[in-house]
Amino acid sequence: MAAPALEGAAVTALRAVLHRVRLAAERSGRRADDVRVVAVSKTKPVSLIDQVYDAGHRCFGENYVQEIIDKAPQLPEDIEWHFIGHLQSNKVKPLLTAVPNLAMVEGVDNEKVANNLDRVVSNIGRQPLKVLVQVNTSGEVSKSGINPSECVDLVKHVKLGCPNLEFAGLMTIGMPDYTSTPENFKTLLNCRAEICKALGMAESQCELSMGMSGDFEQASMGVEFRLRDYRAEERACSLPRRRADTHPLSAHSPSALQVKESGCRKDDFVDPLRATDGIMAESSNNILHEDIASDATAPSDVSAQLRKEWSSFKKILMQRFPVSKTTPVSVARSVVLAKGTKGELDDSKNFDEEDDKVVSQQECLSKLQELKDEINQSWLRDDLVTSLRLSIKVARLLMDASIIQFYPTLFVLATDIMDMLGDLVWARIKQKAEITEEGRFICSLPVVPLSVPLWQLVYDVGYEPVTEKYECFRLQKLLHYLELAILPCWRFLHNHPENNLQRLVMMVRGIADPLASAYCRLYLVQCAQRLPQYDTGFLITCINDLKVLLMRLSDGNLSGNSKFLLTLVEPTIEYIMRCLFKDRKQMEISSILVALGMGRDPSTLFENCSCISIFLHYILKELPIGYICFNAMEILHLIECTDDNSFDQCLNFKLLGHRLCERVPELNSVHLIVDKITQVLSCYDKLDAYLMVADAYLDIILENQLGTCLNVILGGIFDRLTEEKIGENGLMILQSIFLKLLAHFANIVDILALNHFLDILDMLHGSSRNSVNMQLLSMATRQGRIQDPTIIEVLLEVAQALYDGLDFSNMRKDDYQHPARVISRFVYMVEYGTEVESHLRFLAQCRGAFANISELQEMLVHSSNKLAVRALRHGNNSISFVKSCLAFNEVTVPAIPSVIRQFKLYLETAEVAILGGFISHVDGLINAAINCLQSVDSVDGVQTTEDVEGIISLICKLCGILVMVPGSLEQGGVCIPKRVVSFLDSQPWVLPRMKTKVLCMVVFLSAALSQNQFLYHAVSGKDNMVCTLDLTFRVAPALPTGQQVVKVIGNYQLFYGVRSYHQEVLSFSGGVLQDILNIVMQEPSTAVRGKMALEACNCVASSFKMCGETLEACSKLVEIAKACSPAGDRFLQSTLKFLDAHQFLV
Amino acid sequence: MVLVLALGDLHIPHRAPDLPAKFKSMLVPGKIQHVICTGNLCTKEVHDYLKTVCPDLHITRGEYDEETRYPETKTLTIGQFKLGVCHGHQVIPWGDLDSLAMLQRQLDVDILVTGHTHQFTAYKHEAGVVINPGSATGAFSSITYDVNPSFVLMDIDGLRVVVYVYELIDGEVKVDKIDFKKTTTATA
Repeated sequence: MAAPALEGAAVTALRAVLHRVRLAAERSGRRADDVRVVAVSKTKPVSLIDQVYDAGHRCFGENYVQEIIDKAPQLPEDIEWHFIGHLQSNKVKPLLTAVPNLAMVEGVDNEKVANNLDRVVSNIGRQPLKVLVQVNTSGEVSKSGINPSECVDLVKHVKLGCPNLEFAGLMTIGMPDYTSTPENFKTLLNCRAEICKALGMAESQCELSMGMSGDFEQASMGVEFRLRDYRAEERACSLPRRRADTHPLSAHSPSALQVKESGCRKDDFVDPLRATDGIMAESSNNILHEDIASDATAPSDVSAQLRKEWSSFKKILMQRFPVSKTTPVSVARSVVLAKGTKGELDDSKNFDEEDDKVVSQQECLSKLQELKDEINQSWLRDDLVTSLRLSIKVARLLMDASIIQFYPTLFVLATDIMDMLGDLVWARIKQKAEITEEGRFICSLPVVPLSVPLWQLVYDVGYEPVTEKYECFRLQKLLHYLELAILPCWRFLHNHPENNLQRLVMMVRGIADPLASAYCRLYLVQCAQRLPQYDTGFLITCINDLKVLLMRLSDGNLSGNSKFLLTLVEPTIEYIMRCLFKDRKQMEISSILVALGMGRDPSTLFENCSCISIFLHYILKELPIGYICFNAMEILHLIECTDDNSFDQCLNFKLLGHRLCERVPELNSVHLIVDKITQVLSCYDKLDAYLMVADAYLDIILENQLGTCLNVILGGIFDRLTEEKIGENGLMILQSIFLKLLAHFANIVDILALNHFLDILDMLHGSSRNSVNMQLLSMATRQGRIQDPTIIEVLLEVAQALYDGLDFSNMRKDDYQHPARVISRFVYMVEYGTEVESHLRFLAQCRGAFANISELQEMLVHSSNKLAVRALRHGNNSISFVKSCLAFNEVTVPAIPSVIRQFKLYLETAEVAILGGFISHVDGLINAAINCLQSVDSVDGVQTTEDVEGIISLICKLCGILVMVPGSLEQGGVCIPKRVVSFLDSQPWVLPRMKTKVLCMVVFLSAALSQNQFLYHAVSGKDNMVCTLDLTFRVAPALPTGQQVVKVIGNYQLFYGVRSYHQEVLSFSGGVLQDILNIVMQEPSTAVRGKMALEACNCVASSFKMCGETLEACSKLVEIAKACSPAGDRFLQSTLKFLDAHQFLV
Repeated sequence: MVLVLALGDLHIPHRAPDLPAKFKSMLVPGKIQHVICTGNLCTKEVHDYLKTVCPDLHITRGEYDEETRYPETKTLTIGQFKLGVCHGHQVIPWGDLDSLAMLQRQLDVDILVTGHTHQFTAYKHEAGVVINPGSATGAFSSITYDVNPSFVLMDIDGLRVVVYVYELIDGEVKVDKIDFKKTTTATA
């Protein structure tokens, strides 16, 4: 009685076998019915057979005559009995008599037994008995089975000489121990082929019985991998190497190896930056102001230079005091051309009329432009009176300084007109003067008797002067500007026009309005410049006059409007100072300064002028640098003594500082200067002033390495910081200070050692802080690895502050890319040496701190892997650490935005896990990687061919890794490759060409998995870790003893002894092969099909044994390749050669 | 006499900070006519550096290269020889002679240069010669972390090639060489 459990098991086993048969048949393109399953029931009780019979099965096999004789009567008659054991001659009769439903005798291996069977069958009178001829395919000397070479004869005998026997086919049991190898099956196939040929039978009529339940799939597939011996192959192909005594890269290699760079550009292009200076100089000469009278000006270069300077000065003036378009100008002189005669030059009466209009400044400006054109036109028409009259109008405008913001612009435009007039007059006189001498050209200006009024020269010879008008004309104050404009014309009268200057200075004093007065002086000085020579006296007088003017303005108390007035006057002061100090020698400067009241005794300064500091400012600005450097201390003292409201003292200090910095190396008495400044600074309470001055002298301090002084200053800054936020100005200056410090010090340690450096840095905010932080980090990383833990901590805080200051959601990528990179670089440069745990902790900190910087997160993963490998390399108790690295990566990778990058990182981590022997991690990582693949289209998007090729390439890499990956017991050894294949099927963007490529990789992978050696596996040099390389296992039932415990086990080791594993790989790859064939055959494009076919057949020939299925497949692929490839295709040729050489297609 | 430098798998900066100093001092600009790089540089700085060694630079894409536009394979002709380059992670199993032979047939080249295993190897099989220059920085690979930095310099002279192998072993540069000839190409 069989135990119920056993019965159940049998039926289940049957069902399982039938299922597998069905699958195998499908795979090999056969119908399941074509395969007969014989349930071997030897030694099994009848009741069990009953169970299986009840489940529907009919075909049973027995090995022992006695047993079958006993059993058969007890069991239903429609059972198909096969006798599969060895049949002795004397047992034939009892067997056939007792078992009428004996369907087949398998195992006829000689003529004698065949004859015996034949006779008995005929005697009993039953229907013809089917027989299978047993062939000995193993090649071993054994009792059973006929030699393959003799099988044809035996079969002939059975077929032709035994009428009562039906030859049904061939049978083999493979190896003596009933295991099988593919060779056995191949041999049997060959036998069948021979027999059928000899007897004219169709192969389908000749059955083959082979294999045990273990290998029927193999048998029916005809698919088996080529067995490889990697070591032997490598030994055979290795190129021998020997020590080289000399080599091309050694230092002594001959210079004959110098390379002529083909394709190197020669220097035969024109360097635009090296254009001849002549060209540049020429063009600068052409930059003149807009006046038409270019040939009326004195042709010398100096004059042109002056013009240029003046015009740029005017431009700056206009920019500094811009015109607002809406503020009205209450004054508008209607531009009425006097209809009067030439004699009426004085239109003062007209101006008193009330045709004032309120117009905008814009309109006023355009009116001026009109006037200018009018003057010009009239002059050209020879209507000189009108020109002059209009010019007077313009000059009068300049007397009106009611809208002070507008005045500078007005000044610029009006003086433009004046200049134009002056040029016109000069031209006219010159012309007249030259032809006075009857056409004789006069090279020097003639001297004309003083008695002739100047104006007479302007008019045509012969015109009657209206003397009283002229007198009037000259005395009018209105003519200041006109006088000035025609100042150069005095040269026609005598050789020293500069003698007029003092007179003119007096004249200008008469102007009431301070602003107009100041600007008139400006014009005065400018016009004086055009004279060939003059002395500085009048300039000094001007300055002194201005001092008086300003004092009057300020009257000791500067309110808003006066302050503004003061700023308006500044350009005048500046210009005059510039003229004063241009190209002066030392001695002259000293005397000038004395004349200006800046003598040796500073205490008297304030008495003389309460606005002296503004003058001092411009003096400082224009003094030659040599003088300043030489007299630095005196000047410092001077500044110290001048502390008034007209100008910020700290600005003067600042200016001095900047000027001194122009010549830092040449400074003497640096210490004195710096001490003085420090002293001055200590008196400043406000942060802004302190910063301004400190910043100006910083370069001097740094260049001269005055460390203590620097620290004092930093301390001073710190003391003046309050809880309030630092203002914009303060921030700018602090940023400048910090950046200078960072540029100066080469070493981060020195920087951090500075007094209060970090404290002050903390008080910065906004973009200034970001700039400084970035610079600090850049500087720190420039030196190389950062190893000091305290510095690392400090810099990490700095990096965090920088990161927090970035607004990732609102900033554009370009804006935050640079700081992100700087932070990443910092993290990369941190080095903990052997303290790997600390390093990992640091990485974890960074992960949390810098979550939005994806390149940094990726770098963390790489760093963690690097640490893990380092730990593995040094061995000893590193297991838990390596695990923490892996765990770290498993957490970090998912946060990275791009799934393809995640994929790569998972693969890298998996590789490290394999190196370390952590199987569970490996599985998890590989699965995570494949999950990434699933979402690659939706997350990353697959758009370009590049994208696709990249992904395919990575999948190939994955296949390479899978050679090392154990697979799992529950899910089977090929569960991961299966996932890969199904992934390919699910993605629309995977083109057929790529699919075949990957499937070929899968085939190669499967072949590698089935070998009994490793081509490669994670190798370690240490004893306590893994894997064995090159363990060669014969296919034998028992595990060799004495094998060392391995931590990472490859597929075949894990699945060792589990035959189904091997079959699983085979059946899987058989399926893949079918897929490849299908895809190739369905490819529409001929060219592509040809390539695919070639690739596939190379793959098939390299991986599988060529027989049956695979031979068919390979041949088919070759046919396709030949048909679809172009005539001289090299790949086709070499493939054919390759196939030929290995006799694959034979 | 044409000098061709073959190197790869530097993995800068992910796995190694830089080329060994002793290698760098040997790779002087102007000596070498061509550079072949199997891939996995990984960043642009390395590319720029290699360009300074020699402007004629041929690179194929490794799986960790930042630059996605390098090709998967490349072929070039130098003198009488056709050379092919491929990183090697796409050849399954890695370093398998038969699979490499298939690639070599596909590219139709005399000398195939691949990397990825970070181990120097040089084989001759029926399809031609396969050279693996190893890892120039000694970075760890999928297979091992005991890697000696190495690179290869080929001296191509007519039908003969001398392959110099430079390896950094225990801080010293050791140079070996391998000779092989090509039989004159038979026309198809």
